[in-house]
Amino acid sequence: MARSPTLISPNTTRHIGVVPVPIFVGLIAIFDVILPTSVAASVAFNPLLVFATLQTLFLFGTAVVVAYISLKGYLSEGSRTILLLGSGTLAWGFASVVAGWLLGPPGGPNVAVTVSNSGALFASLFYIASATTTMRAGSSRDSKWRKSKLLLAYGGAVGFLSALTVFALVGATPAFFVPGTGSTVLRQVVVAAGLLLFAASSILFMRLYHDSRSGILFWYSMALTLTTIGLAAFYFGRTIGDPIAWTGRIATYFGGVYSLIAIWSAIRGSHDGLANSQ
Amino acid sequence: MARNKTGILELDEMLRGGFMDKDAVMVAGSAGTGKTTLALEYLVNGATQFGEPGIYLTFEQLPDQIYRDAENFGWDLRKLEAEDKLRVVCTSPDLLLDPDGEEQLLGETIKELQPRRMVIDSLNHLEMYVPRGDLRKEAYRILMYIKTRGISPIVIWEAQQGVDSYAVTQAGMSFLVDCLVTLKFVEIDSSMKKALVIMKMRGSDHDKRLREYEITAHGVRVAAPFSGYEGIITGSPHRSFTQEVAGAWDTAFTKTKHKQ
Repeated sequence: MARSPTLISPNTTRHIGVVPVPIFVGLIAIFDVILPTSVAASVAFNPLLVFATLQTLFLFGTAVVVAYISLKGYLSEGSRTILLLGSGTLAWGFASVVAGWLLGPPGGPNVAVTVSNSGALFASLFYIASATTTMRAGSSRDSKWRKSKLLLAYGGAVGFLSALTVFALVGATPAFFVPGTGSTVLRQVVVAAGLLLFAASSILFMRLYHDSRSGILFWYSMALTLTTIGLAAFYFGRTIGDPIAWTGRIATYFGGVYSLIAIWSAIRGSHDGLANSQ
Repeated sequence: MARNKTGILELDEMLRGGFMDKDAVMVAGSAGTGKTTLALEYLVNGATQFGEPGIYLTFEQLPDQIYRDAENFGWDLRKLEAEDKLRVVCTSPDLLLDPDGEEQLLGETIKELQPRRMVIDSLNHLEMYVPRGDLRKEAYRILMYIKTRGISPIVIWEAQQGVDSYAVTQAGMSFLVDCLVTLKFVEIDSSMKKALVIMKMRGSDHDKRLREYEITAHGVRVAAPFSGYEGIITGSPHRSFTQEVAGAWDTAFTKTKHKQ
């Protein structure tokens, strides 16, 4: 079936898609320069229900869609890249929704930050593994164990983060955030590691995009770039809910939307029999 | 409940152990789908693995052709005949349609061999010899003759490709049989594959999924179900929407490396 004509070319759309990146980077840089630590706490904005809803819609909801499509793709084709990508997305979405709903009682800032940041690092390990497996042959044509491997990967990701959440709730994990004091060194190390791995994954997927010009790869690598910016904001943020944190959160929400645009590209691609759609 | 195993492992699993004893089974499909091979394998396995002698009644081929084709699958029909485990009966449909024709044609063989299985290849040949509308009556008479002698019959029906599963019912033949197995060609991802489905099985649960099968050097081998495809029965198979999207998703992330 012929593709329906569009008013905007794919290249133009992609150029527009890049625009939020410098905007978010610029905003974080500006806030970092102009926002004194003493003022950050007074302007912090933490409406618990709004935050939880945004996390659920933009991070968990979008992650579920990507994880589901990856699940179907893995069961059908057996690509480890897709299995790892789906697992990473599910881990990031799960950690985000848990953090969203646990920012208030019975959790609190430390529990939310612990789960969110550890989840980001955990997810980034899947992403970097996924991005590196695209560089070499990695498909298992033996369909016999696919369901078991899928259960292990998806179940393992959710299971690990569930256990981490329980441990954080009962105070069995080291502190990531101390109210009144701020981030601990552990948090900074975890966020920095996650940030580097997200950035590396994004660059590797973008490299693939330059080879294939696939819209799916473009939008997904951009989603990872925006998530990386979001993590960077956590790193530079003074306190939970300050302008830098919100800039980072919105960047990650954009990342969620971009991953849906990547899925939309796959829908267009499947419709046209191409994987290189807008 | 007694079952007649086909000896084709995956097909027996689909049938929850095999065809029901003394059930009339129809194997329907277009030319080249392997109806005769499947039916012959049922007879050969019955004779060699389950101690159940059988009769292969054909209106279609000359005996030499049948023996030669069977040999290609490693089935020595002459040896089985010599061991009184099988009889190949080549005849004309009009002989079977004569009054008391089935007794004259098969009575002696049934007494001698005490068969438990029988294949009639095919009902379409009878159709050429009976007035329009009488086929069902004649087929019913023949099947009842066989079943009342404790034999489990398989009848072969060549149906039009495309809507063959429905052609069987449209011709009013499916009610005659207790179990209906449909074979057909399907085009998937630009290659021709064979699909098998158990359309009905009276009095028993069965696998309702379409399964891919192949005719190998050793006979019929049933493979995995066609998962993620829709419209196979109606002749226009296509991947489901989510499967299409997942395929494009997978291709984007995994096929790129080959370009490097």
